[in-house]
Amino acid sequence: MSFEDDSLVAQMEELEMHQSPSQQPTLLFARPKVYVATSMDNRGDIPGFLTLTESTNKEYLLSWTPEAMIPDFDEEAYVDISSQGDHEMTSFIPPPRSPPPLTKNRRSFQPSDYAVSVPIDQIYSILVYPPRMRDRFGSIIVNLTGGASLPAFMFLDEHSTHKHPPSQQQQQATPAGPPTWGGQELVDTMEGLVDIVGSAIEPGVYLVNASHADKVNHGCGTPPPSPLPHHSLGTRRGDVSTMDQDQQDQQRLYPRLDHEEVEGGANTNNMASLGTQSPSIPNTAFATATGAITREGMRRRRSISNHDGSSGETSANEERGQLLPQQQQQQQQGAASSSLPRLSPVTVSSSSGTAIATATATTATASTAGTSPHQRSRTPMPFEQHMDPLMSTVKEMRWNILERFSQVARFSRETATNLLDHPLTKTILPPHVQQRIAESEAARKMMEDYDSARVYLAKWAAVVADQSDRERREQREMDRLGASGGGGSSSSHHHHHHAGHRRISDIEDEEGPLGAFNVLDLQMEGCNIQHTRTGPLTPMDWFSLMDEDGRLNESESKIRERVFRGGVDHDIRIEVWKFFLGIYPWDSTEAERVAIRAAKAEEYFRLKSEWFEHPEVQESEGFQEQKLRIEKDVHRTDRTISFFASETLPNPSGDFTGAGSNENLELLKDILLTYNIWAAKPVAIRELTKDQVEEEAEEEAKEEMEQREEGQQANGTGDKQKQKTKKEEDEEDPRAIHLEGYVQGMSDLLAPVFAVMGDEVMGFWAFVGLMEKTKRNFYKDQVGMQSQLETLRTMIQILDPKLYKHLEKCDALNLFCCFRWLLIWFKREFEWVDIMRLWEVLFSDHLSTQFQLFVAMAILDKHRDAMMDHLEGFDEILKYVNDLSMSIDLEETLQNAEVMYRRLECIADKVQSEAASGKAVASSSSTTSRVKELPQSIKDLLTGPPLVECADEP
Amino acid sequence: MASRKKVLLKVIILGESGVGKTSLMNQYVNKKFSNQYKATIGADFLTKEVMVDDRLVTMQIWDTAGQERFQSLGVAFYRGADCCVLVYDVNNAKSFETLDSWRDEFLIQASPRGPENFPFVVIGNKIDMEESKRMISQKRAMAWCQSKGNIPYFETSAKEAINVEQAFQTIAKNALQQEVEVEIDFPDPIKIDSDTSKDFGCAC
Repeated sequence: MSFEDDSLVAQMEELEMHQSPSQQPTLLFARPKVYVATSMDNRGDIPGFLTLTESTNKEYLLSWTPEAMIPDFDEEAYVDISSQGDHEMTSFIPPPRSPPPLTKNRRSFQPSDYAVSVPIDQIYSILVYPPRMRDRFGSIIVNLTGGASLPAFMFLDEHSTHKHPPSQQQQQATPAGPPTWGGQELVDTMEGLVDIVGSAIEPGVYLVNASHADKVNHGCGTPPPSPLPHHSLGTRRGDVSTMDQDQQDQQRLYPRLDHEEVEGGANTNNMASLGTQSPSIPNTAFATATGAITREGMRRRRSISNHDGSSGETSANEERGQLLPQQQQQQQQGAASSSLPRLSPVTVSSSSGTAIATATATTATASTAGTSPHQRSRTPMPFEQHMDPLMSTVKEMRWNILERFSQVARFSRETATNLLDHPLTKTILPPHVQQRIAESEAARKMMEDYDSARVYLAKWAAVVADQSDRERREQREMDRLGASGGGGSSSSHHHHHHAGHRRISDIEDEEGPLGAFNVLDLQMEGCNIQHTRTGPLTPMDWFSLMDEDGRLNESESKIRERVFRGGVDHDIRIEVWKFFLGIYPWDSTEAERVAIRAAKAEEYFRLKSEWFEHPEVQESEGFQEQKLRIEKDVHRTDRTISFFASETLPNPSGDFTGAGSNENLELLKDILLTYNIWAAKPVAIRELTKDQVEEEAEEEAKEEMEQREEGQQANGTGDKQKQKTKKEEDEEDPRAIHLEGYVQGMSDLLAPVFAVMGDEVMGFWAFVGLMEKTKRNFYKDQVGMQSQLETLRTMIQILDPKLYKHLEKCDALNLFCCFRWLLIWFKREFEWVDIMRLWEVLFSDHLSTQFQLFVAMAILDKHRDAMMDHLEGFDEILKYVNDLSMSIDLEETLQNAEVMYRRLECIADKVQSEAASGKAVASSSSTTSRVKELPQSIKDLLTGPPLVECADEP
Repeated sequence: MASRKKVLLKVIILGESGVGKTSLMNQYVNKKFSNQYKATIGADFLTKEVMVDDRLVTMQIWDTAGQERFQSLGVAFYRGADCCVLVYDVNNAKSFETLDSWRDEFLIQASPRGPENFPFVVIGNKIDMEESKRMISQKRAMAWCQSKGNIPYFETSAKEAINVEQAFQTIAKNALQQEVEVEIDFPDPIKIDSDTSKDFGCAC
């Protein structure tokens, strides 16, 4: 596919070279693999090209051409474009070589029926949905001034962000921005051509050549005075004007409009990077171009068009009459250029291959002539013809409306009536759609779908909230850095992490099982909770910690803390992880480590030989069954990671959907099979080094707790390691009974440690170390998972009673929505690189040996408002949480997780100190049945050194 | 129980790990196939709107983990199911042999009203593989289905989109029948308020 892209770009470049800009349409923007959904059509989504072209008469056209219409993307097709110097030709799109016969009312439709091309001055607004959610498609919906909408264009993320080299250059142009994707790029490009403003009330909505009235409606009537208007707007919780990053960037657009040279320059970068800009167009062309399509021009065109019946849109135009002074200036420039506005879907009516059906376009629009938008019924666009036109519009608009509403603080979900009555709907939804929705029972039912759409709403609410969170976090970070830099910034005391994020109403009646020890208390008692995250441990740092024998001369607990706070640089993971995963003792010298590696290799191959060199073992039913099970999973584990991607070896079993294998996959299998052998051996037989990582987290945690209470916490983790081995022997659980071979999820755990270790032997032992921390999750009785979910449940109850109640109401207290998180340590929730960072933080055991529970708590906390506002059932919560996958910000999560830990710790300290001092804790609220003592599971969590501030609390 | 404005059909897909449950669901809902779907951990679902007997219904299709170890989660996921799809791999005898236990397990955990009439559908997947690999004949599978009360049987390829649509049409149909039977307890809550209808007229 990338080949196609490249060749296309190359062709375009070549074309540009040969074309004189005065005669040829200029391609300003082009995106391959932009899909149009054909909802009712079985053929699925159709790929095509979304392009923005400048015609010879300075008219800008937004077009979508199905790939199918450009056979082999051949050059000739593009030459066809160039031959269309005709003023009346609004579409540059080349027809296919052998156009299909156009028969009315046929059931199956050709991709070409979806081709569309509109002058951009006919665009009323663009709804932009960045590729955030799980489906990874960003999409845009273009609403036209006449009330019609083009089908949603979906940008395949892979092409727009990963494979498209220009994105790098673009990031240079806007260094602070997020990676661009097609939709954003389109808006950026159009920005240079027309007046585009991002709505402040509805993130993702961009108004094109908006009237003053529209701008006011959308909260952007006057240019914001501050250069960063979003910042002040965004800090209030629940402020509807908060936006996600992409949209926020667009908001900055406003100030940018005042500097057209800059803008033009940026666009030049855009276009140069696309490799499509005509070299003969100087930067300044864009400044002029901005004025080329203007209100006045549009008006003139409209008046013409009213004669020839091209557009029936009038009333909205009147509303748009008022202009900002700046625009009026553009208007003057733009008055010179005029042409008929056209909505000319490309319908191929002749086999000559060059004639574009202008006649069709005229027919299509003629029926709308002269009628007001309220009365006329819109002629369906060709792409709608195979379904009820209204339904198609509603189908496309449905999510838009829903998404939009999700951002209007809380909307009650009663009936579609509310939806339609809402003032925003009236602004957004084209009037004829509103009217027809009212008339159509089918449409009404469809609107009622938003019952099942709450998951979607919740996502959007979360996106909005995320923005304000991010700002708060940045602010906090600045304060923190300022404070630690000796500035003693007083403002830092005002930032109580998530306390500010809570709605006031929540705080007021928030009461958990521990009574009034809530967020409010924490604030009032001055328990300043901040995370301590820093950058990763660098190779330089690491080697500086070694003495001449290669022995670490820093204490184990210090190193654990350091890794907890920042992780380690990837280059030294291969070494550092071996300490954390029990392969190297902390006090080993380099020479000892060499010996350990040799011994470990020997031991591993001894284990492996137990099956590898024994055909009778391999042929046993049990082994075969395990082998098959493992193979099935290994072949679908992290195949997108280059380390596991190749298919250089045949799939030995030939069983799983035919995907080929490779050496690393085969080693994954061997390791897992060998692990079965190892795990089945009684504990006593296994060689456990003294500092093998811990056995039972609970046991150890209890011990740690005692230590803390005795004031020995300063010794930290070093001691606890040693006191543990004894317990291991005591426990003596016959693991074989618990694990009984491979369990799904293990391959997920193995893949990263194997990839980091890079070889079979160390991969195996690192996996053994990791399994020591996670194996209880896989026990047959599921006791490990159950106890973790139980502990998490208690944490929620204490830290966020409101959320707890909500989950209870939703029948979601089983927390199965967090099952996957905990089973495989968030492996499916974060990208590969993040997983390594997260895991080493979890390896560190610095604050808690069960820090994964705080990570879970942090994610839940982040989304608690979205879940509480929009989700009402177990299924919805599960879906929402599952769909968070790959969209969670790791750094932020780790920061919050640390804060969660400290919050829980503060509450715990308070409960204990009050219980100790015999205070009548129950006096403040008699109604709550109060837990007088912390649950043991919670005490067990708090194993790390206490935060100084909290310890100093009176 | 909350009243539903529209019909939501809950469908549970069960079967051994690796038989193609996720693939079937994705082929049906998203018309996509990938041989890289990871092993499902826990459970997830997709929804799809379909017309069944002139009714627009929403299917909520639950994809579950195939390993027995995780069956204890089932009860939370199975509750309220309208149809259960049992999937096996025609090239894997064991996956067929465990259909019995999947069915029993479902009936125990979901405890539907009238378990004897609860709609199941059986799917033999991966018929795109070469015939020599096939372990379970159509005849054998159909015999089993017949013995369990005439369970509808389909042979599909999620990879090549063979028969998937048809199988799910039947699933939807049978689920709807189940749902309608249950629904009798709840009056249809859709009400159109004439007052609000007027409001639409001037919604501009």
